[in-house]
Amino acid sequence: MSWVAVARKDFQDAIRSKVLWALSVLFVLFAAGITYVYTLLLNGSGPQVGRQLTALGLILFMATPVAILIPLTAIVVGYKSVSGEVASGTIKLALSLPHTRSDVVVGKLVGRTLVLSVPIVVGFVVAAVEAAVLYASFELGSYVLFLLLTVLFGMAYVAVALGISASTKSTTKAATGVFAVFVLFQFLWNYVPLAVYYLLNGTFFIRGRPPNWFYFFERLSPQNAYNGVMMALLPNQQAAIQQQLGGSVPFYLSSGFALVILVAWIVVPVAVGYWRFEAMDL
Amino acid sequence: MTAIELDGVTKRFDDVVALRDLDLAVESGEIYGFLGPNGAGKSTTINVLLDFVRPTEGSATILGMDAREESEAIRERVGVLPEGYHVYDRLTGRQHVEFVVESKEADDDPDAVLERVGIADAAGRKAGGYSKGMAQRLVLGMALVGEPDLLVLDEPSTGLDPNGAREMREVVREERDRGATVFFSSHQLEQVEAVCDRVGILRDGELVAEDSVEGLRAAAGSESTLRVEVDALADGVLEDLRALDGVSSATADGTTITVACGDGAKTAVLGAIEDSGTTVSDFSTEEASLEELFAAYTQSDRTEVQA
Repeated sequence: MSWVAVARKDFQDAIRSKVLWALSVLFVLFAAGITYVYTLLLNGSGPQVGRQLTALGLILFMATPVAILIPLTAIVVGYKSVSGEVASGTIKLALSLPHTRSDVVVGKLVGRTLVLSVPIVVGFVVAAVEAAVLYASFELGSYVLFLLLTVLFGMAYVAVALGISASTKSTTKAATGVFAVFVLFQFLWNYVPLAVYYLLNGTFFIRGRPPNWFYFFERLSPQNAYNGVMMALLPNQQAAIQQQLGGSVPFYLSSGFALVILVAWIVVPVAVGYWRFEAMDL
Repeated sequence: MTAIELDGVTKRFDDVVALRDLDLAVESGEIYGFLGPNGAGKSTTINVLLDFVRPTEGSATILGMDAREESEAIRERVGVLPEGYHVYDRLTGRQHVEFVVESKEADDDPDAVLERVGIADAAGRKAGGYSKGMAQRLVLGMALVGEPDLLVLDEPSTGLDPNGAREMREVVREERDRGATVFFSSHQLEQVEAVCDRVGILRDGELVAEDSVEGLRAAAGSESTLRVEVDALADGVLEDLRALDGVSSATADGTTITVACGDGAKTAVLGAIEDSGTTVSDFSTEEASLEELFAAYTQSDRTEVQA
């Protein structure tokens, strides 16, 4: 369990950096702010305040901004995780001890995920307290699952940042690479299925309903996989998807498979990063 | 038993050859000084031992285990002060040692470790604020955790003042007396001379000499300088001296004759001066300094000295 020592050291290190505290403040402001903004949007002022306010509605409302905030934060937390240690030379202290390079990679994944999770949890708790006071109903179970799912999503982006960070000795290259991945999946990915469709059919115009593989392609990004899992937490979403697909939902578009995709976004980048790091001369 | 064994290790970085077919053996329980100018390949050698870099050819065995395949098990029994390290700026000295204690599953008291290397008063301070010398003491302390069978110290006196370097040598001796093997590199001769049982000299990635300090001195064939005070300088005595076997130069300044010669020729030199009819009033010899010896091995292109 050598990676535990690495993870603990990594987390101790982060607690003492201002980053963790700055992130916690940011997340609290974000969560508290958005929880309140949601009340303003749903209600005018007046006696019916709280009528339609539910935690489930809040989850849906938060999902989009969370899907941008979390990856950016994870990138900041993760891009230097290995390359920074290689560049500075602290890695030589860790690897002078009986840790394998896989211990370092796994320890970093856990340590940095914890670093990201602390502000997420703090922010979510603040939002929950606020919602419990202001909202008509608060579905604690769904909310906790949403929190766990969001931590998992954050872990996926930590894994991406870590995987790239472990592949290079340059923190600049790591930062550039991780940001490029974020831009690809945040802004460009939804055009990819369309491009594939064009290559197959010679036209951008989709007649009728897009084929199922089209949705599957979309689903492959971390953001869309995150959203795909979230559908399981919210009522009425399954029916909406069935309607969209014109009948039954194939397994590869199910929330369960979206979870598999999200987990793959943790496993694959870390595995690739480890493979590159293992071969590196320090 | 052999603590460290390198067998035909070659390491190429792109088009630079850092190590050439290096063979090296360090016996268990000795202090081995690994000497050479900067860039000779000392750190690369140590990095191969620690699996930080992988040899292009050849293999390394540490404490009977393969450096590539059994690196983790090796590092459980080895204490390391690496080259080019950086401390964790935000962690305290004590946290650094705690990290090592936990990683090695040792039971050392972190404060006692820091006491031993002389920075107990800075235990609670962030290591980012340490001076180079304090960081060096900290990492030396980390290397001592868990009573390792082998200490690998890469330029341990870097950043230490003379007092700190002396304390470091004391620690090295204590560790050897405890039963550990110590392998340490240096480009500073006095460090090696003062503490090592055996010395290897590396140049351009090759081991050019390996022996005790005394043995190296003899093997280098380095000359002594003999200064002889005479009451008067006889005609032709310098020519006679220069003709002797083992004498490479003879000069005079007033009544002082200075002769550079091998150790074995000293008696003959004194005899020849007496034979010339002058009286020797005083004489002294100076051994070649280690600096000159080192230069003879590492700078000169004229000789490949075999130890």
